[in-house]
Amino acid sequence: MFSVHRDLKPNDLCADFHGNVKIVDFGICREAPAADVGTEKLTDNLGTREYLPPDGKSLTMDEYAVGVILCEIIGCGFTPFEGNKSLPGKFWPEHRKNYMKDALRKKLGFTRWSGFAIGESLESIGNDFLDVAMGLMEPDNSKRMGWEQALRQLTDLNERLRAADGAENVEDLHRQFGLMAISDAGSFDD
Amino acid sequence: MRCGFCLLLRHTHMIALSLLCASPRKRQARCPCDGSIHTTTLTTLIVPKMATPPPPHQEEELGDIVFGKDRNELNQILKMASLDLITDGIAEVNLAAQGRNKLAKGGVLFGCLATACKTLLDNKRVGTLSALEMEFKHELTRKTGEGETHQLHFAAFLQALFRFTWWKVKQAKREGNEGLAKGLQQMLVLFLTELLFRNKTMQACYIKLLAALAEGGNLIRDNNLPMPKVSASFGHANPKKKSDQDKENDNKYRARAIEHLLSCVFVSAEARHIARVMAGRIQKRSLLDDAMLKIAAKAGRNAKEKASFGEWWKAIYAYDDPHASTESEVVAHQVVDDPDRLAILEEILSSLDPFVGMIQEDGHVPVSYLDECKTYIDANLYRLGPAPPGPPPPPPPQLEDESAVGARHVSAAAKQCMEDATGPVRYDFFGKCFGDRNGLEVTHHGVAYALTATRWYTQDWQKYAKIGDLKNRETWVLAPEWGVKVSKLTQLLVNDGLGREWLMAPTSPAEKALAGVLCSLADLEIIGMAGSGSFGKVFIVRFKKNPDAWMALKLIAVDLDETTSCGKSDLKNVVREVSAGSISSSPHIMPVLGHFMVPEVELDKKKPMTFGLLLELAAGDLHSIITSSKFRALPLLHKVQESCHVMKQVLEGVRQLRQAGIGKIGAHFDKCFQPCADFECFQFIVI
Repeated sequence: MFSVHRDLKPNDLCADFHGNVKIVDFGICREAPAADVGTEKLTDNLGTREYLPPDGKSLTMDEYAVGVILCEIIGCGFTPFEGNKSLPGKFWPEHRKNYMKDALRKKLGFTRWSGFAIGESLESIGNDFLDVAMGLMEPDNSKRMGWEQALRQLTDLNERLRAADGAENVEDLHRQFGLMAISDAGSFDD
Repeated sequence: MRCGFCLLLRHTHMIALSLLCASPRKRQARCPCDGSIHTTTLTTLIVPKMATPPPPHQEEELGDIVFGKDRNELNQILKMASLDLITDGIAEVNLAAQGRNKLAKGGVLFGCLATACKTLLDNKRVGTLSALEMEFKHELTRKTGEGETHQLHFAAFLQALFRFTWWKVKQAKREGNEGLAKGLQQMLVLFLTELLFRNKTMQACYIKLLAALAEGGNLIRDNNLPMPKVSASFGHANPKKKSDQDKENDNKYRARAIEHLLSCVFVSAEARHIARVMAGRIQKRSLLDDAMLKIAAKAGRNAKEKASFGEWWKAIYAYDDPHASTESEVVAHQVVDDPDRLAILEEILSSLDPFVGMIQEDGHVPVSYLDECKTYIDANLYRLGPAPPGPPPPPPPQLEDESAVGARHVSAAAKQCMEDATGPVRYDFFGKCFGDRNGLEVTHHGVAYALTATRWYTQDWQKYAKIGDLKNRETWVLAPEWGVKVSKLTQLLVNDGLGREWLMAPTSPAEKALAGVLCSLADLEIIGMAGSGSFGKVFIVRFKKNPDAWMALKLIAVDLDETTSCGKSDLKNVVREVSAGSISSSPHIMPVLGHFMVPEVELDKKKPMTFGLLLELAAGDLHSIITSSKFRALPLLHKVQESCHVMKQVLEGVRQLRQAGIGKIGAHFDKCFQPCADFECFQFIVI
C-alpha cells in the first residue's frame, strides 16, 4: 500500500530544538495500492493550493509539495506560484524548464548567487538544486521525480556543498553576517 | 510494528507523567505498578524557562446596567439580535430534533438564548443586561443542567450584539439618522477601546464590555454625559482667563466627566472606585490635573496585563486611599513627586490628548489610531522605571514562537475584522473552510469561527453565496480562492493576539472539564495556546513538578455515536490524525506521547468524547523558521544546505510513513476502543 500525506507544507513540518524536522498532522492522509502510483488520482479535493500539483490530486502529490517547499525554503517563504495563478499553465509547455529556471532564479534570488564569491563550482550545485526542485515539481505525475531519487540527489548535493564549504569558509561567513548556525537551539526567533 | 493506539488505549498506568516528572532528561523511569523500567521516546522536553504567567483575570462584580429612560434604540437592536437568534436557534433546535444536525448542543444553546431574549422582550425588561444573562442561565440550567457554562455562551451573544450594533450604525447612516448613528458609534468606540486596550478578553470581560457599551450609549443618548463638553476644554483650559468660581466649576465638571468616562471604560468595581478617587483628586488639588488621570486610566488598564507595572497601579490606587499601606503610599509619592518621572508621564500623556479629543469631536475614533496610541503607551510606560519596591517582575517569556505565549498587539486583520462586521453569520456558511470537516468539527474552533465570521461576511462571500450552497463541492471547486482566503484568514486570526485571546476561552464543557482535570489530576498546567489544529486547539502545558518540562497538548473531540455516518467519519478522521504518525517509529514523524479522556463524557457515549493528545513540543514550524529574519539573512549557500538537510528528513519521513501503511488503523481503533469502558480514570501512555 501507498500512503499519501496530501497536505505537506511548512506549517506541517515541525522543527524541534535540535533542528530535527518532523512531519505532523495526518488528518487527511490516505492510502492506495502501490500499483496505482502514477495513474490513480485521489478524488477528494483537499490540500493547500500552493502545494497542489497542476495535474490534480495524484498519488505523487507529496513529491510535488516537497519541491514547492524546497523552493520556499530558498525563497524564504515565497512559494514559486504564489499570487501568480497563470504561471503553471503558461510555463508548463515544452520551454517550461528554461522559463521555470529563470523565474525561480529571479524570484528566489539566485541572480545574486555569484555575489557571494564562493567558487564557480557552486554555480553548478545551484543548478542541480533547481533541477531537483523542478524534477519534484514536474507537472506530469508519471514523469515526476520519486522520493528515492530526490533523496539521493539531495544527499549528494549536501555532500558536495559540505566539500565546497570548508570549515574556515563557514566561520568566515558567520563572522561576515553575524549569524549563528541555523541548527543551534533557540536560533529561530526573530 | 506497534500500533500507537493499541498502546494508548491498553495501558492504564500514568507512566508518562512519572517519567516526565521524575526526569525528562533520563528518558527512563520505573513503572509505579510492576517496577519495570520504561523508556520514553521523548527527545526534547527541555525548553528555556518561562516566566510564570500572570494569574487569570479575576471576575468582578457586575452591577445591574440599565440602558436608560429612552431605550428605544437599544431595545430595537436587541430585538433584532434576539429575533435573528431566535430564528437561528429554532432552526438549530429543529434540525437537532430531527437528528440531522450534529450541532444539537449548539442548537439548545441558541434556543436557550432565544427563549431568554423572547421572555425579556415579552416582559419588556430588555434594558437590563444582567437580567438577560440570568434568564439565559435559567433557561440553560432548565434545559441542559449546565447553567454554570452560561457565561461562555453569553459571550458569543455579545459578539453577535456587537455585529448587530455595527450593522445598525451603517443602516442608520444610510437612512440619514445621524443622531442614532452617532450614539451607536459612540458605544462601539467604547467597545472597541476596551477590546483594543485590554487583551484579557475572557468571557467575563465580554459582559463588562457590553456593560460599558450600554452605559456609555445610555449616557450619551441622554445627553447627561459631560464628555462632549469636557472634550472641548479638556487639557486646553486656560486658567488665567477664568475666575476661581469658573475654575472650581470646571474642576467639578471635569471630575464628573472623568468619573463617567472611567466608569464606562472600567466597569469593574475596582475601576469605579479608582474613578471616584481620581475624580475626587481633581477637586482637591491640581497636582497632576487631567494628565494624571489619563495616565492613571491607561496605566491601570495596562497594569492588569503588565506585571511589572502592577505595583505602580497599586501606588496610584493607594495615593488617595486612607487605608493604603505605607509602602504603597511611599511608592506613589516617589512616582508622582519625581520630576523626571513626571516629565515622562506628561510626555506620554500628551499623546493621549487627541484620543480624548477625537472621541468627543465626531463620536468616532479610528481604530488605527487607538492601536497606535496603545503601542506608544506600551512602549513608553517602562520608561518610568526604576521598578517599585517589591519582588522583581518576572522576565518576559522566552519561547521561540511568540504566538505560543500571546503577543500584545492587535493586528490589522483583527481590526479589519471588526470594521467589516456587518451582520449575522451562521455556522453552516463555513462547512468547507476547514477542508472536509463537518459542522461539529468547525464548532470546536469556537471563537475563531466567530471572529472569522465577522470578516467573511463581506462582499466576497455574498458573491459566492449567489453561486449556491457554500457547503457543496461544486461551489468549493468554483471558488477555490475563496476557500484559500478563508483558510489563511483563519490561520491569521489564530496567530493574531486578539483572536488567540478569544480562543483561550474553552469552547465546550468537555474542553473545560478537561482543562480542569489537567490541572488537578494530571499535575499539568496549561500556560499557553499554540494555535488551532484541524480538530481543536493545541495548548502548551507544563508539568508542575518540573517546570522545565513542556509539551504540547492537542485536544480532540470526537462524536462516538457510531449510529450516524458523521460519527464514523469522526472516528476515522481522529484515527488518521493521531495513528498514522504513531504507527511509525520514524524519528521524522511527530509521535503521540500520550492521551487523556474525560471520564464523564467517556461513560456517556452519546456525548462527544474529548481526547487530549500529548505531543512533543516543537521549537516552531518550518514556515516560521524560514520566514524569520535570521534565516533570511543567511547566505544562499547555507540556505541550500539547510534545504538539503530539511528535505532529507522530510523525504525520510514520507518514505517511512508510506512503508508503515495506514490501512488497518480503523480496525485497530475499533479493537482497542472497547477496553476504554473499563478504564478507571485517565491514561498516560508512552509509546
